[in-house]
Formats: sequence, C-alpha cells, structure tokens
Amino acid sequence: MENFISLQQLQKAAPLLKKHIFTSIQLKALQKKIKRQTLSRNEKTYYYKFIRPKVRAMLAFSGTEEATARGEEWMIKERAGRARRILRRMQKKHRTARIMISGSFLFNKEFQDIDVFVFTKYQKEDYSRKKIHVNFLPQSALGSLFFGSLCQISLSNFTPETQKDFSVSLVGLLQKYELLVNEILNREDYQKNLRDFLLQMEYLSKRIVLNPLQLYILRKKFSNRRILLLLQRYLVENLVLNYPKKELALLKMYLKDYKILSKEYKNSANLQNYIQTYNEALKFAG
Amino acid sequence: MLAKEGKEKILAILGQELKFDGHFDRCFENLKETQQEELILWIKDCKERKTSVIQSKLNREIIGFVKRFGSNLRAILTKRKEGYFLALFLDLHKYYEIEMAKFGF
Repeated sequence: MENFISLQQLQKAAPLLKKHIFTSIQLKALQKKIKRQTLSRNEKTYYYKFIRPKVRAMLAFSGTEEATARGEEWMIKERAGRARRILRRMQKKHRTARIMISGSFLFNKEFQDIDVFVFTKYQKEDYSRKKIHVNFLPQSALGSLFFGSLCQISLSNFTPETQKDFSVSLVGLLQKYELLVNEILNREDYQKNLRDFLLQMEYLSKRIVLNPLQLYILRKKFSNRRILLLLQRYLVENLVLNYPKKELALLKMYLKDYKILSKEYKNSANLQNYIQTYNEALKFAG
Repeated sequence: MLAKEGKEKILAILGQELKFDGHFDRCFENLKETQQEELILWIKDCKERKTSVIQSKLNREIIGFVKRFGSNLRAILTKRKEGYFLALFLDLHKYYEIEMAKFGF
C-alpha cells in the first residue's frame, strides 16, 4: 500500500501529517517503509497497528485506486481492464513487490503476450504462464531509461517516479551498437537490443524518453532488409551531432583494434561494419 | 550427452584448461543432442577463427564469441587476444545479459 506514496510526497506533507495524523515516530517508520529499509520490532508494531490503517483510510478517502495508470489514453479499454485483473492476481502472489504491466499488449491489438515486470531485491527466475510473461528486475532498474519509457504506458501497484536525467556514454552506446549489429548478422532475435539502442539514441539526440508506443513505431521503421545501413547512418549522424570531436577520437582506437582483429577473423562480418561506421563518423566529424 | 563428456570434448578441441561458467552442467544436459553437437562445433569454429568476434569495452585485450541456443539459452566463450581461452559460459538469457555486461561486451 505504501507503494502509492512517494518519498517526495511524504516529505512535502510531513508538517501537516505530523500535526494531525502521525506522531514523529510513526512518520519516521513510514518513511523507512517507503525507502524499503528494515523496520525494528517496535516500528513494525507501529506500522501494522497504527500507520497502515491510517494510510489505507487516507487513500480510500482520496479515491486512490489500487492501480496507478499512466498513458491510459493510449490503452485499449478492454485490455486495460484485463491488465488490472492480472495486476490484482499478481499482487496476491508477490505481496510486497512493485509490479508493473506494460508493453505492446496494452495498445496494440496484434499483440497477445502480456509483459509483467516485478521489481525485487533478489534475483528470481522469469517465468511464463500461457500469455503472461513475468520478468523479475532488480530495484536498480527503476532508475533506468528503459523504465522511464516503460512506465509511460503502464498499470502498476505503485506510483512510478521516473528519473529526469540519464547519461548516454559514448562507450555504452558503441557497445550497444556493436552487439546489435552482431545479433542481426547472426540472425538472432535483436529486438531487445534494438529497443535499448533506439531509446538511448533518441534520448541522446532529443532529450526525450520515448513511450512504448512511440518506441514501437520507431522500431517498426527499422524492421526492413536495409536495417544495417539504416542503423549505420543513424549512429554516424548522432555521434557527430552529439559528441565533441575530442571524445570521438576514441573511435580511432577501436578502428585500429578492429582492423587488426579482422585480419585474424576474416569471417567476422560485424568487424567490417564497425570499421565502416567508425570511419564514416570520423570523416563527418572532420 | 552428459556435461562431463561434453566438457571433455570441448577441452580436447581447445587443448587447454577452461573455466565453465553459468549453470553449465544443467544447461548443457538440457540441450537436445543436436544442439550439444552444435555447441561443440561452434567451439571448434571459434578456435579456428571462423566465427564472428566482439571485443570487450572494459579490457581491449579480451574478445568474446556469443551463440544462441533455442529461445532462451546463450553461450559466451571468452579469450585473451594473444593467448588462451578464458571461460565458457552457458546459461539462460537473463544471466547472459549480466555476464555480457560484466565483460563489457
């Protein structure tokens, strides 16, 4: 239940809450609970006996639902209803976890698979039941660019707080690009890396975090036979426009490495792609 | 094929000691026989430099080879550029991502 209150909200309302509803100790315990810190025995008693019932009453009074919906205007109504029912079911199974339902299922009739994300402290095995795919993610994922996108069209049992600033490092971006190219050339499933790569690129170039629908539309544009060429142009353009020339000098180092490697690994087509792409970027960077 | 036999075959191809990472035994024994053979052939191709290679962003002296088996299993073979193979990782996709990040791939 405390999932619906953010730390920010609590801090903002602290003087009023302290004056009319909670004692200092109760407020401190609630704060600890929201931060997911361990409560002492005394604090636990306070929490379950006094704090929780008051919070429940306040939430009911303010009309807060048991699920937070974001981007409801993009959702197919019938699917949002189904997602709410699944969320309720999942909550019974993972009582203390933060749970979110997002993905194409909510806005695209063609997609039948339902992605459920459970944010937990401990690593757990993902599982699928019929069309429902349950993915366990670490709490740290709540601060990621991926989460920033995901929560924009979602239903969750908590109030998602998204980070405003993300850093897209040159090394991280090149790493993502290289892996993506390798997956495409090896004819593997590259959709996940493509999604992450596009999110990073759009944030880098426009400072926007695409929502899942925008990301889906952009991803579709890259789904054609010339995907490698498109990705190459897209990367080159954004590297030159968004990183200073001095930083792009790093590409020279990789170029040198890949030229040596490609002599040894003649069948490694990905290396040729990296060489061509980085050469092009350096050429445009002047 | 049991994991023990598979490991022996792999070590014979590489001709050196190798660390087996991830839930190697369990995952190897869950592979179909044809996939087990495919894994062993792939190791041979890696040794003979016939596969695609990626370079670590954390340590430029380390390279890696990756392969997918079925929808959820992944293998990563790591090697020092001018030297020996380091480890063969075989596990579910989720753990593969963690391992890839660990190596800077």
